[in-house]
Amino acid sequence: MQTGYIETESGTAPTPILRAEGLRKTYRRNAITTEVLRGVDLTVPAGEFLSIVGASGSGKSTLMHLLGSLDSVDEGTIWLENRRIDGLPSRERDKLRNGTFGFIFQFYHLLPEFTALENVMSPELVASTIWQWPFRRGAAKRRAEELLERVGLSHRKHHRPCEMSGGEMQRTAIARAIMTRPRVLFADEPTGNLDEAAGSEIMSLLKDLNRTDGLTVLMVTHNMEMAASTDRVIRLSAGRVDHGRQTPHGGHLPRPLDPSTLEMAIRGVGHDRFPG
Amino acid sequence: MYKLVLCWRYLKTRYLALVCVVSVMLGVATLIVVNSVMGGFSAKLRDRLHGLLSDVMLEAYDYDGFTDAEGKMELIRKDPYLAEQVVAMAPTLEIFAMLQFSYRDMPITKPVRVVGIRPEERALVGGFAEHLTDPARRAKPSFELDDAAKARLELSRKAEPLVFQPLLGPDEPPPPDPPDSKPHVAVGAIPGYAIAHFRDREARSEDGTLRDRRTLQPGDEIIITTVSGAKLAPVFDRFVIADYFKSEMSEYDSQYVFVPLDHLQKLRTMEGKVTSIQIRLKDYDQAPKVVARLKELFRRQPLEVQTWEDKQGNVLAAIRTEKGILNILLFLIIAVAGFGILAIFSMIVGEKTRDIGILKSLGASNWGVMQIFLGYGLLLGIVGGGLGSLMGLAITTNINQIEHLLAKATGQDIFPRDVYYFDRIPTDIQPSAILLVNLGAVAIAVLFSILPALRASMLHPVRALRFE
Repeated sequence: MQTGYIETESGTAPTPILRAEGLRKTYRRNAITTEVLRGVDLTVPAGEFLSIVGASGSGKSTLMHLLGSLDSVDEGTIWLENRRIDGLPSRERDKLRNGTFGFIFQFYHLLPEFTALENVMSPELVASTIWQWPFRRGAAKRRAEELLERVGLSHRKHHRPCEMSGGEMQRTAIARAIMTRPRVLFADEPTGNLDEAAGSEIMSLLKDLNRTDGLTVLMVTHNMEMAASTDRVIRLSAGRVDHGRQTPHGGHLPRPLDPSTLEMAIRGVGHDRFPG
Repeated sequence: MYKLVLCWRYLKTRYLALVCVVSVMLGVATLIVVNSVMGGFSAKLRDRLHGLLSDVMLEAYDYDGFTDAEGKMELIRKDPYLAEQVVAMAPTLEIFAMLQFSYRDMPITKPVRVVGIRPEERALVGGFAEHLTDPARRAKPSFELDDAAKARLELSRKAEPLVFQPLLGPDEPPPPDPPDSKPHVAVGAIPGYAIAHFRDREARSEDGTLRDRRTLQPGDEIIITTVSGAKLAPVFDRFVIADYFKSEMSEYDSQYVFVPLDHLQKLRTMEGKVTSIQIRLKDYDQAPKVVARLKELFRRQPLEVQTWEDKQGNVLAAIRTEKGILNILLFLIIAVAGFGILAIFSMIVGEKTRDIGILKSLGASNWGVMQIFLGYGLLLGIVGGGLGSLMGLAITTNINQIEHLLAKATGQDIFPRDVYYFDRIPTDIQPSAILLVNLGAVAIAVLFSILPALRASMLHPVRALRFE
């Protein structure tokens, strides 16, 4: 079995927080069948900032959706630490999405009826019953305000998404994603819809969360420069992890890669292995 | 909790949903107004149908009546159960007759039903004294003429006494004289208001209401012609108008003439006979038991025992059926509003597909998403129903003013007062009916939101997030 996890000479690798084995996913629409994932194996150590790159249609987002319990696998297994999560009943999967996983999307996906503060509070709102909410509301509001301050949006907390810029909306989405203190943050092309400056801000935020809070981040991106600045990059190609073109992982989190080296790795030019 | 918050936000921000609220509101308001007006008519009609009838009647099968009314009443008083239930009894004699009087020197003849009563006794049974127009007579019912009536009678007799106008050809022999007819003896009679008046559609009072023209007034003489009970020969006698009764039920007001019982018995040569005994009960709920007991008591005699509702059964059933059908038809208005909710909710689910995906990515369950839209439907139903109730109540309580304004604006009489002899459109606001209408509206709103809610709950989170 091959995984995206490569053990280094320095010793025992960090404990994997997510592990996928032989993931397969096929979409069927009318008579058309599209095999998106064809047996993906992947191990993500806790605290890693992993980038998933690949051409459009290579299955990056699908892999993220499967790992984040947004979609169900056709074949294969997914483990969250020692708990198998691929066949969980929907109620358990809802709980995972609410508390253990956080999501950031390319198009921010904020609720338009809610203000920035309410959007950040929304995971707590989803988790609470009508009877619990009066007791939890105060704490949820305080945390949401803290998070908005952390992402630099205290002044925007009463603004609705339509009154904010793309970068502000994405920062709000990040605050929302970490509201329930998730273990893993899934970011699906988080800078894909932003200009360079806003994209850099978002990347800095994600890195900060990863380094300061030890949050495991899985990021799908097309931006090679940003991917290169993460701990590890895997490339998906035709529904499989392209093991020949991934950056290695050290026992401790490695230094960021040089983008030009990464570009070559992604395009499959030059080396089979890159120094860690 | 998010379900409640989102329901409320959707209600506040989706103006399309206001269309649903308005349609539910109009449906509920219409139902409340129609129900209240129908209820008012129904209650008034019921009241009036009961009007001249006592709670229970012991009746002869034919117009020959039965003898020994006093003995029968005594038997009822002696029965332990009936003695406890019966409050008052009054024997009456009822017969068809022709009434003649002169109006502006023109002889007028009308078919009437003459009822012989003992006024004080009849008043105890109910449905008589309260309908008399003279307040003094209401307190002490009698056929006595007051001073003004006596004076008018005196004057008219001196001027031109009323003569009987036979309804015969010129060559036919006149009918035989009535027994003991003494024109100088003033025997009082109390006809229905509509016998003594006619509603002039051209004449209106200052406030715009139709005016009644009087054709007979206290002191005027009338001639009542009927047939004798023994020989079926025509008999007639003179009576003098003492007062009118106004039950506001045209069937009674235009047909009934009350006269003293003993005089009618004598005229019909039916001394000691009556056609019915009117019985008033202490508690009308006990009527079926009383009827059963009376039937048992008089099982060997050709008498019919029935409650006033049995007697007016067909009319009451017709009112009930009419109200029921009208309710069903009007409820279809709310059903139409339900289809509006279905269509608009389906549009909102389409519009909110991505939000549904977001909620699911945040951990919202399928059932939770379904609850949002069911709750939304519930909220629309409650708000629409609440506003509709307020609107319906406002219209119902001001229906007469509204009718007046509409009549003024269109120049058409919307509520023909001469048909019903009501001065105002009657309304009866039943809280239970309002509650039922609201519950129905809320149930329809929720029912029609099930399908869009189900569709929303079944949305795949990934497909919903990618929805363009």
